[in-house]
Amino acid sequence: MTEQRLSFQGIIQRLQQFWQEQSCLILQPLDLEVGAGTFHPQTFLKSIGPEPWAAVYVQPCRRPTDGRYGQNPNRVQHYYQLQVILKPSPLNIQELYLDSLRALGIDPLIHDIRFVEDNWASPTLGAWGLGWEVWQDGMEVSQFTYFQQTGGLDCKPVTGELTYGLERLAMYLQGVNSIFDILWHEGPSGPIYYGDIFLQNEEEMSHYNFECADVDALFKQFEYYETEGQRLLEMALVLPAYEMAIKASHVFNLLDARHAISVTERQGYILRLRTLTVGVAKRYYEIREEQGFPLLKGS
Amino acid sequence: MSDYDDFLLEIGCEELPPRAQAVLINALANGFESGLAECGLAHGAIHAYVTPRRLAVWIEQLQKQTPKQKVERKGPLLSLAIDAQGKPTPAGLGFAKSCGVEFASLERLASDKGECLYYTSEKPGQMTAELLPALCDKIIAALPIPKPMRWGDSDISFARPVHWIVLLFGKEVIPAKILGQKSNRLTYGHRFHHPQAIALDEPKQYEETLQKAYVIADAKKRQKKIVQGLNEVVASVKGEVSIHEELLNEVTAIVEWPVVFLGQFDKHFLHVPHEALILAMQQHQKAFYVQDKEKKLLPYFVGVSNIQSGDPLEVVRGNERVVNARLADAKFFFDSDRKHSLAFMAKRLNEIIFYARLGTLEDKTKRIAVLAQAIAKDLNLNEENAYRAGELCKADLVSDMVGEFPELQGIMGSYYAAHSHEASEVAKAIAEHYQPRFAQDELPQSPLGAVVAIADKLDTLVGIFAVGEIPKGDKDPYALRRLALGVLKIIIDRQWPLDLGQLLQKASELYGDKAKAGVMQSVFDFMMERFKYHYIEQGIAAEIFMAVLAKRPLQPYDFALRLRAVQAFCELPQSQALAAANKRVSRILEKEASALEGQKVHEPLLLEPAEKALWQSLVAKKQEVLPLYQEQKYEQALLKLASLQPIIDSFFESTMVMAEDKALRNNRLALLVELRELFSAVADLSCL
Repeated sequence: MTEQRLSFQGIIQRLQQFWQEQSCLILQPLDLEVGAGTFHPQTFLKSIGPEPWAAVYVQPCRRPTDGRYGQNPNRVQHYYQLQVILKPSPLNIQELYLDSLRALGIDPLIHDIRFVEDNWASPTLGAWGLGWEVWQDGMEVSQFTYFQQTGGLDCKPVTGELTYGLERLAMYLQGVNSIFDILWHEGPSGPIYYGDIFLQNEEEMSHYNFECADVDALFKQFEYYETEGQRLLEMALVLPAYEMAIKASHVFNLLDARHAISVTERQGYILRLRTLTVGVAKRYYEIREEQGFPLLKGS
Repeated sequence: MSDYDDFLLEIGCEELPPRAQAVLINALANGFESGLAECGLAHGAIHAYVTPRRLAVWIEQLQKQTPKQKVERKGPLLSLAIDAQGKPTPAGLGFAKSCGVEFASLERLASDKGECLYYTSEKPGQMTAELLPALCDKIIAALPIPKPMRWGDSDISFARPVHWIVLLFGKEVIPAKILGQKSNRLTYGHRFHHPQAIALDEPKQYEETLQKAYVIADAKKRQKKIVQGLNEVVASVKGEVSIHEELLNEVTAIVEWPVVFLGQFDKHFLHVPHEALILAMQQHQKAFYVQDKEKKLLPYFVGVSNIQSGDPLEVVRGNERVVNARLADAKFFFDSDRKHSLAFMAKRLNEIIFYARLGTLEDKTKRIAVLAQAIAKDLNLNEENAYRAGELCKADLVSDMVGEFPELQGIMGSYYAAHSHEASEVAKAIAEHYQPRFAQDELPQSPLGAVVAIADKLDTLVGIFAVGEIPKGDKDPYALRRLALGVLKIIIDRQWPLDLGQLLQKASELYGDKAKAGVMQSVFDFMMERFKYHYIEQGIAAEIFMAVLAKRPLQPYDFALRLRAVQAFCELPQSQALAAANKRVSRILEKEASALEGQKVHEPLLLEPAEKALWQSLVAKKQEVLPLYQEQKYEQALLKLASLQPIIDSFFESTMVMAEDKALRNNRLALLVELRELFSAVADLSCL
């Protein structure tokens, strides 16, 4: 597999290609800062209610506390997830996932592929699910979750969510020991590496996240996004309200990186976010129901 | 045709949570055991199998049919069932109808009230094969699934999605639909080595068939193979693998075909505290660590894979890369934490709330420091170091390493204290102050560690009681029961003369008006309650504990000595008679309390030889025993008192305490007061 080293963009292309062949829509990233692909409305909202859905997309993720000033080979505050959503989860979902690894040239008779229990919960999204981390020779390369609840609502049918940690997968496939050494693409003018694109970003953003972000202003923003979200929700503008929740969530993460929120206060903030997202989920369900769950047609 | 056949149920599913596996398979096997007994079905051995992808039960020689049952019914008396003309009454006919037979075919049976109608028949046995589907359903529905889940579009729930059901009785498939799957004879081997279906002819082939398909179905055998592998691979590096039982169980539960391998990590990580390296290997990688003969960590780890890899080196290299990355992370935390002194970290404790109404962790550490200092003063230990250790004991909670590995709290603080040039005594105390962290955990080894441990725990107890979060039932979120017992165990282990009342007084004062007056007493009572359960668990009778508690000794160590003494006393042959005598004394004195004011024994008033003898013995024993009490040699003291038993008994036999003469009576009562005082100095023996 190292003969024609699969580039970072090559991995994305193959995975998208594979899942497109499994009848997934190829969607595009959400243009807001999120901590995980699950926040994308195409996962969070689509997992609510009876309407079927199948999609794949790449989502850039930001986790300010994971920044290491570009000094740590494995942790960065900005990275990419490739997210697959299958609703209802097909019975052969594990096999499909393994086939996607095969499509990347990973031979499960050579590599040790394992489904290791990992139950997922996002208190902010009022969501939880059961599933695994997928290990490849001891490295976690994906998260695999059967959603049981989102936004405080029982998932029926159940959505299967597959999340590939693209950097981890690329490091693995390319046999490199640092994120920054991942080959992004080998073009006619030579190779371009992940570090060429993102190292400066990691350095500067780590400084910003940990040292420079204006705490007072962030607290005000949190208040604003929360109030605004509730106001929009009352007007039944669920998508804008949900965007406010996402923005508030990122502000919360920044405050966390600045150590501005104490352990006990944390719970309070998470609860406030949860109140908003649960409100969004409920209202979204009602609106879709009023519309007769349009995506149910033809299924 | 035999009357018996083997039975097999296999539930094939997606990877089951490791902890759930043992619980589920035990419940499944027990479910069959009791379910079959209820049906009256005999059977041979029950074999239970569990892997990440299957739960199975093979039952040998299960009876094919339930035994015939004799049905017996008594009807009305003949006098009521047959009228004067000898014809059946409506009651008689009704009984016949309810039995489904003609009246004439009913039998007669003698009873003590006279003859009555009687019906017997034999109910044929039921076919086991017909009973099994419902029985399986019932047993499966009763399985204790910690976190049930649904999948796809169905309403069925189980620990993980179910893919196949094997249900065989002898060579036949029993048709059923279980957990959404139709029963079959098809099982599947290892996910990658043998994904094809395998048809099972009969139950007894199960284990062997799977073995050929790269599945060791028996968890014990799988574990044995892992242990063997672990020991083999470390032999090449002259190491010893440390087998952590919980990890071993977990690893056994995530493989069907274990293949053990040895990996190596970069030597320079050995400069990072080994506790952190070990946690990173065990928790994150589920790998075992390796030591040399002197128990020094070696730069190796042992992993267990689930594949007979076509290129085993690939698996090893991949794992090594991950372990190195994990350790690099730990090293990063260790290096970045050490950019600041521990005292600097402690300043950030004001950002962490200890409990909403009780202020921050900074407030808490200040209280711990003052309390630890006071305790150190009482014990002639270094007060300054006690204060310092108290002040710094929680500082590592803001470190990155503890953020990543919460289990390392205290331990990292100790490393950082040493790095910040704190006294070694302080560093050690920080490491030890969380002990004991669980029931069987070690107690702090150093005196100062013990002091800070006591101070921290008492502070939490008083604080959490002050806000009313008193443990109830299984609700003890702050582990106050463990803390309470921890304090007592430490004091006793150290044989320290600390007064619990005074300690709690001081701890309460430090909370100012946050701790109301009654809090101290409630904590004291709570601690005594834990103390009691602790001793009961150790086999000490509750009444022995209550006998000592009645004296309310405030020093836990003193309490323990008294308890030991009373326990030894109870084993003496005289103890029962003495306890009875003490009870008697207590009863008498209780009634006559008013007459006893200021009474002393007047020797001239002692008339009977028995009372004279008792008085003389009491005076003599007092001389012997009082110094023993003062030296806390309670056991010896009680042993000496035990020799009084015949004298006391003969006193009660021959002397009338409640004499008519008031002076005599009061004198005898005074004698009893002396007796009681002498005996009950250690414990209230009348409780026994």
